[in-house]
Amino acid sequence: MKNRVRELRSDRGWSQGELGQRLKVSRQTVNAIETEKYDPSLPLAFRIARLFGKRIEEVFLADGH
Amino acid sequence: MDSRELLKCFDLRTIVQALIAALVLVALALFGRRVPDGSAVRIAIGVAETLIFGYLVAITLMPIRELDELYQRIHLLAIAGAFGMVGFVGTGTVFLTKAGLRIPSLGLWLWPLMVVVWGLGVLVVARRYR
Repeated sequence: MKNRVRELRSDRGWSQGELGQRLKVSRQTVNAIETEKYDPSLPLAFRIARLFGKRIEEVFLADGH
Repeated sequence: MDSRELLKCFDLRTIVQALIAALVLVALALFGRRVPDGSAVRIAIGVAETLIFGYLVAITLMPIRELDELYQRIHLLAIAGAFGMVGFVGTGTVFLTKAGLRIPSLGLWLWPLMVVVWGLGVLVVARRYR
């Protein structure tokens, strides 16, 4: 699954660690999501979208879309 | 959440508690040898050993609950690997023993073996998400 987490985080000038703290997850988890090695759970995906003030489908994109 | 959290199940505090529990188990086992098998005292010692071992299992596994979802996934995959490995070694030992090979029973070493394989598994699986 593709996502725009890195782009949205960079726009706000946050580090991966900072985003991790806001989401209450590790920096490694943020990195794994950004590099698309790990797809977050639905609750975490909603938390990410809410944090960036976006709808979930604006942050996470299914492959081929 | 810090990357060191990943190895929370194997931190110094847990290791010290595990060593203390192991020492108590050894002491109970030595004391138990002096008591006849089947007696009430021997059975009470067996129950105490079981409870202490249960405590050991609990303090090792409990920290997983506090980890974030990726770390929990890493531990779950590593535990699945350790489960498979111990099942393979344990069952293989039985087959080979039945075939006539003299292989010592894993017995009480089963849990430490599983924890070691689990720990190694965590390090291997975590590399996938770096």
